[in-house]
Amino acid sequence: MTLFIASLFSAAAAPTVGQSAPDFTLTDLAGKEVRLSSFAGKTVVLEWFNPGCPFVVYAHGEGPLKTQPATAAAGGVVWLAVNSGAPGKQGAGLDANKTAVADWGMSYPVLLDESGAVGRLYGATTTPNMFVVDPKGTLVYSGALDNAPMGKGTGASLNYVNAAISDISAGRAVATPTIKPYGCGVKYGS
Amino acid sequence: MTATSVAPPVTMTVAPASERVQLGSSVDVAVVLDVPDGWHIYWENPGQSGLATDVRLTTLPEVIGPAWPAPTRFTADGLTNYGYTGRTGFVFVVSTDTPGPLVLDAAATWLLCRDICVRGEGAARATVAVVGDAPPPPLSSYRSRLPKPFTGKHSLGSTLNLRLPGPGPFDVFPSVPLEGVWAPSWHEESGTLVLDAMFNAPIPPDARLVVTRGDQAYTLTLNPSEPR
Repeated sequence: MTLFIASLFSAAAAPTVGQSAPDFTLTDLAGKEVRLSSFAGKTVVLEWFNPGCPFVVYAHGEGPLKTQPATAAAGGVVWLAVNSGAPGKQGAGLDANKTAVADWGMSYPVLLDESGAVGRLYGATTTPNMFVVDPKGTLVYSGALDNAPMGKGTGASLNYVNAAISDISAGRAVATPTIKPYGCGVKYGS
Repeated sequence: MTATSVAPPVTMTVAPASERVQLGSSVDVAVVLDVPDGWHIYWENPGQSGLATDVRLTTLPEVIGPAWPAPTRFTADGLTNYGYTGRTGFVFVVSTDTPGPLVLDAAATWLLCRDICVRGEGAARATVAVVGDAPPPPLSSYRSRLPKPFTGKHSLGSTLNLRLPGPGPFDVFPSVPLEGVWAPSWHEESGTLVLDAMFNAPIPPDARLVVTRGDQAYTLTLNPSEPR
């Protein structure tokens, strides 16, 4: 039996890959508003983020997210982290996120979504849960960062976000549009 | 930044079925993780979040196991998960073909979660005395023909790419008919088995490959990498 994340998750249906990525406006850690549609014409990567989650700690400390976002940015990709943790939950609040940005040398915004509205809009279930939006604003990838949670994978290493970015640059359809995401559950409010 | 370790400890022990074993027989060995109340570690399929527990007998890489005990269901952050709490034993079947002390070194890594998750790891050891006369010859040869977990390199997605160093001769057997699912090609290159196959149709559930290399046999489960 195959279970699909979107059908198990409550609230409005998560956007389907192939449809327009829903627009949103969130505030970054400096209080500046960031709106998704302002990046029209560029590839955008959305990274659901919780600095207290061991999967995120691994990915940023030793894993792919240590260097991948900066490399992507050098190629013109916009990378945004979104924290949908409710106040009081693990990894929520300005201090925890500012510390993480400093510790991990993150050169891209962390957007706070404390009501969880944008997380639920996208159907984000875990951290890290990745979404890739093409320059036309279409959601072309939704799911796992790679095939090695905490660096543990078997066989050849596959980074689904990099693969989607390459497919977009080459003008190809994204070969792997969705793979079940891994990580800690997003700390939505009750 | 590291996650604060606010979780209580998980104790780990190695518990063989017996501390004295007859040469040529098999002994069940449980690697036991004692997960504190209110916390969970995860099954081979953790569910919507989490990370599968990894338990190994490091000195016996070709041992059969571990067998996963049936999980319990729990909810974390509104997501469905499968795993274990309390005293949990992962069973290995260890065969004994050499007399003397058999050292069972176990290593495990897990993700221990309640409302937050903390990574954990442990190591433990037990020793079993292997005594008695050599087994009747046919028994060890029967046992050696049982496929062990595949130890070569492989990657599995919409294609299977597999490499197994020799010496051969090699052969590959699917456990269920795969006509129409794949048309594999394999050959021997500098003594190594090279297999590349593209899947044209979904892989049936429980499909496995048995790969033989001379007198030895290995088994590989063809789990698709699709969302479960």
